Amino acid sequence: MYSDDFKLTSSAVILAAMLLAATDTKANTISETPAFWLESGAEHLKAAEHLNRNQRYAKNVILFVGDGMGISTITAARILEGQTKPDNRGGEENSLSFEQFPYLALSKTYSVNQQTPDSAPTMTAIISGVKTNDGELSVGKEVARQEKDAFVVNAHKVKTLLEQAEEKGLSTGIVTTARITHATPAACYAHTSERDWESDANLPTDATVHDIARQLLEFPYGNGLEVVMGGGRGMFLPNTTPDPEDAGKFGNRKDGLDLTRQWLGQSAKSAYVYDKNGFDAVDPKYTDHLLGLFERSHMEYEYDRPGDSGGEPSLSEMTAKAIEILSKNRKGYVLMVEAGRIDHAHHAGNAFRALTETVELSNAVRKAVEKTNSKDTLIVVTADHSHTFTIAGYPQRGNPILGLVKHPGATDYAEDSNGLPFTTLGYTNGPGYRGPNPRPDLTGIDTAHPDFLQEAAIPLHDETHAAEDVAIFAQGPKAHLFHGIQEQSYIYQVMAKALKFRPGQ
Amino acid sequence: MTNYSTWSGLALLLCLSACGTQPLKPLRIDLPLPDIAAEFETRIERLNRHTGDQEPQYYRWRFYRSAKRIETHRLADHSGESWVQLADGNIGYQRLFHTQKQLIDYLPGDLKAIDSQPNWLRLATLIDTDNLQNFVPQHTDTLVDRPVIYYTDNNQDTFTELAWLEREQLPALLRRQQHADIVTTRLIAVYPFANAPWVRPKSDDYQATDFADLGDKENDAFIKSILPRLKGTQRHEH
Repeated sequence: MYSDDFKLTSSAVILAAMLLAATDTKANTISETPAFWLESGAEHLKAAEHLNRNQRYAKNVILFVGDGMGISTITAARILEGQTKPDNRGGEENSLSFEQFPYLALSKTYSVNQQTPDSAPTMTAIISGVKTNDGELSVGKEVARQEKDAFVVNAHKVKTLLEQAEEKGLSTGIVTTARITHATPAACYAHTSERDWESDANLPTDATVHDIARQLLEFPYGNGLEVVMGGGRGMFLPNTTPDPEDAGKFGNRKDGLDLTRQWLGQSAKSAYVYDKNGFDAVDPKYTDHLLGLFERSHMEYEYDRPGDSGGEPSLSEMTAKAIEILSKNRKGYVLMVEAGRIDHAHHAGNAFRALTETVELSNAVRKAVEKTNSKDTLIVVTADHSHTFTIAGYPQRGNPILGLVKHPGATDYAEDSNGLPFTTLGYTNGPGYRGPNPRPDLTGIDTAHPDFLQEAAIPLHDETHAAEDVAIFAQGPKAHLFHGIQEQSYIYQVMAKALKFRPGQ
Repeated sequence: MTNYSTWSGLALLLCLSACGTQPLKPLRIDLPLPDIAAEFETRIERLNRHTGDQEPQYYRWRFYRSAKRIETHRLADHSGESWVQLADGNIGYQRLFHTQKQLIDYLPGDLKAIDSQPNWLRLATLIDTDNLQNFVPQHTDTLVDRPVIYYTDNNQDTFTELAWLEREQLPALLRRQQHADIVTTRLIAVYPFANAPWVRPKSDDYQATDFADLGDKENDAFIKSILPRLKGTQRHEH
């Protein structure tokens, strides 16, 4: 995080191999002639002309949210993944799984009181159709931040898509790599004026509104959530209960409630698991309600996951298991899947992890596509907000996306005004700031190292969210209704329409 | 101000004076490290680029070392840091704010993501244990009523002087000079951990915030107040 902390030539073997492969500019090996472009363009046009609007209603809706997955993140992740493929033409031509969906729109992410929003009001907009204030979950703007009175909060709570689904007898699930009580997943089931009130230990003593973890267990709609998987185990265990994975650590709750036990007691055929072995042992045929809490706090980054002592499933594996359990309901299901750590990696100024998290989200979407039928399942992929992440300079085709800029045909790196090389990826602000001295000389620095922090122009301890629009990708019933530039709350309208739900009721 | 050449000359004199006595041992770390509690004073002298003056700053801090946990406690602002060896071999790190009874919890993945992976031996001994061979033995002496061996490390643009307590495996004096900036850490007192007159502050019941969540707490008053102090995690502040 400081100028003397750069890693020197100790890159991860996988990435090094990947980037070595990418440095051979493949765009030149497959001839991208004028005829090539005209032919491939004609093919895509033909496919567009044959697009059939799926006017049916959906049995199932799967919503994927890449937390902080702005469009520049998608582009860079697309290139990173593309550069690992053996027959790539530089990587730029690659498409992530959801980029192949037929319908696309843009989403305006501002909240009621923020130009640049946080995840609480944005997910509230996506899942309930109502924009609200910063930090608040599934309540209207009339509720003041940190309102402690449950009566006030409940008077202004807004119904979520998952609550509606449960009322109508559908199954519901939430999967995330963040804490399950974190803002994005919490907006699906909790109503509160403060996103940080994740357990009773975080609540003011005179608050009557319940903490977020407890609200998950007290979910009053239908027969309760069927699938809940992610991190955040500490919010569910008493502070006298040792954590099953982290020796010397305890739960977070002060009220003595063990919500994992409560989960097991609430319905038949329920299961609680906390590691990969437990996850693998869950048989969807015999499990109707699954609670999986795989870390005390957030789950590991995908890149670091193999090193986790307790072992934990990937986002793809959780998505697959969730679909297997939820699809037992003939009436259908609503599943929300969040790649929650794209946002964390960006806040840390670490592009490598943000992009590898995004690639794993793409894998999870691919898994969902494989396990469902686009005739009856609407799949939506979007982000809650963007980050200040940029792709810049004029790198040549196939230039390693995590590397230093090299102009087309050049043998040396491109240089800034002071004669120093620079990376393609960077941030407007964040911990990657190397000032106040002149920029460091990155020659010989392995900028593709997983722990390298991209440079930032403005020094901040944490890189921030950004306010530009984010993308919405969709396939399945009513997916064609995603078009143009829409308010973020419109996403809910399409999902509700697809399920034949009356919005807000 | 003592300049660089003066330090080099001093080192040579010390070396010459040591000739004729039995050869001094090269610096080495003897494991296991004893559990200790110590108090240090750190003096920081930095050249003011505008006025040309040195503006020394002092602070006292305590250091607690046991087999699985290292903790510092900065007395002036009642804050500290702790590093814990986890069962899986990783190191957990926390920033402690005793007055507010709050802590910032860095998980191993968070530390990797910010390119900040702690070196346990370095934290436990306060010296650069990766480059012990750079420390040249000079002479013996007595500090805080204990025998010490003096070493110097004249490496690139940094000159380091170390008075090493062999029994405690800890510096009694550590002075680093880089250009006109000098940081001197001097031992005030040291005890076996179990016999220390101070108690390591308890932080078990502090409100914890994950480092990964700081980016979403830009408006939190406590977080705003501590952000300027949340810097590197792989070395002590001194």
